[in-house]
Amino acid sequence: MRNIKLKLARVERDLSQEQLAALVGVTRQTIGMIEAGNYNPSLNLCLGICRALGKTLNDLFWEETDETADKTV
Amino acid sequence: MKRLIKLFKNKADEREKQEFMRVERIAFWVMFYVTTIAFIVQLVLPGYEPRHIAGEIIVLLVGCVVAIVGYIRKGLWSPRVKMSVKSNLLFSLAAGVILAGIAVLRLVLSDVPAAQGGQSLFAIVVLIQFAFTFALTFGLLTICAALVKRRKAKLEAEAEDTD
Repeated sequence: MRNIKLKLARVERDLSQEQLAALVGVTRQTIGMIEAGNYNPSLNLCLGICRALGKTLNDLFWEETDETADKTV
Repeated sequence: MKRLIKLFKNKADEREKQEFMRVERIAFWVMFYVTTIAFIVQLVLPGYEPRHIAGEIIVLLVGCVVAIVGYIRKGLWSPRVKMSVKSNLLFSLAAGVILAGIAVLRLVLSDVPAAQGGQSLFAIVVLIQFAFTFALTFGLLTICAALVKRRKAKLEAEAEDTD
């Protein structure tokens, strides 16, 4: 599943995929694949991306399902 | 020295490392099966001499020992087969049948004395081959299973929450 939240957060910060990749210490291809939903990053990499973008894990990597959305109401 | 270490430092990110491992795993199994097939073909072909397959045997043995030691150290058995006496017996039986089959092929295709010694000698050679392979495989699998079990228990105890 595509990670739109990550892409939006990156664009908000005015960062290219290459710049975010350099901040996190991975290749541009890896960031591209995470955004495209073709690669599941490790928790460490998720945390690194969150730190670089000033977001939380919930902001970038939590998928709201109907069940979880009901619980939060 | 530091420059040399830096030059050869792993520069791949976590995704690339996973991709490398995937490619290398496929390459390992291709090499394993091709070497095994080459080993069996040479074993069966007439004019076989042990020195002809010494290279393949060494490569296979070293590869297998490294893999087995690695699995034991990490407390891993098979990803597909559950550890049990029944599965060990089945795999030992399969190994025995395969090696006995190879022995039959060798005797049929070559001019070894057993092939000329009548059916009873022929059957004894094949039977010994089967029994020896079965017993050896079952013994090794039982030892490996016990080692993996012990290691797994140790790793689990280390990972247990002590608070």
